[in-house]
Amino acid sequence: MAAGLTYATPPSVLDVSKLPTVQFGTKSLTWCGIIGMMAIEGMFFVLTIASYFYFHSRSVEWPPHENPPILFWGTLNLAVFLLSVIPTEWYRRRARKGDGRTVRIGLVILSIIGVINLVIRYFELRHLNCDWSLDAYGSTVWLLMGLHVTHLLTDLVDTVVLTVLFFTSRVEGKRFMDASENADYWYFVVVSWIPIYLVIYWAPRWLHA
Amino acid sequence: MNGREALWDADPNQPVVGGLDADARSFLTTRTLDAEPEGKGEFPGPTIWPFLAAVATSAAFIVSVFTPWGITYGSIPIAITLIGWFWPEKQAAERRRAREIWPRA
Repeated sequence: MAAGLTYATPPSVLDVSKLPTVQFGTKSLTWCGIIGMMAIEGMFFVLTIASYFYFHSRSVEWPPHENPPILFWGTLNLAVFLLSVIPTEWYRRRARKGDGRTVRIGLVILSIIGVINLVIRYFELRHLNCDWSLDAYGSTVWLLMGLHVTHLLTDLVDTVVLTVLFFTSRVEGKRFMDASENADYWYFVVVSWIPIYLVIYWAPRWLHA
Repeated sequence: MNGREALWDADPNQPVVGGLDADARSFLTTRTLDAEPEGKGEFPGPTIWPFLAAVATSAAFIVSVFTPWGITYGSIPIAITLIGWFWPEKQAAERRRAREIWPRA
């Protein structure tokens, strides 16, 4: 029997009044929804990467008539993404204990990091050395970047809204669940960037050689 | 439950669930395999925001047929309606906070 449950007899009443209303991880409905969303979106990334290598298999020259993207901005963004895991994990763990102050600080830090990522992403897009409408290579690279920017932007908006919410009087246990799940979503953004970074920045160099 | 018609097929001595909030749309979350209750939640009340979000999304898709910028600019009203949808009402938040039970460490 789950903790907090008592069966009373007679009559046969299942008393659920002591069951928790705040739950994290696999016990949270929204967490399950986010995992499902990650699976769907992850599959989009996989399919786009598969398209990239398919087009490569059909080309004589790779990248076709173009230079590979400039490494600096993508690598810088990768470093920022990886470093962002430290404050994210810090506030995620404290969210599970209802530590409002730490979560507020963590969300502010993550919001700032998200903006930094977005600014660097702008420079990345300016230095991809390809046009999205020129050929299949350019379209695939831009599609990959576009998909990741969409998630980066979505998580940033989510983080900023949650940050503002945590400075209001409407904070409740459910918001700590949201903060924890926001961190999980950020991990998806970070982890998905690693293969995308390798495909966009390193695959052209390796395949060219 | 004893059949497809939960109310009419109920046994005279049917076990019942007690302890859910009567003034909110409470629901139970249960374990996947044995359906043992393990938590409580609350569905949101009636609000215009989902309708507005649907209108904003439809408008973005319709404009995107004519120009791809429909998605870019269309995402702004979509974001606004989604934020309005998920922004908690003060009274409901206070009620939930007063009754919330955290899991045991």
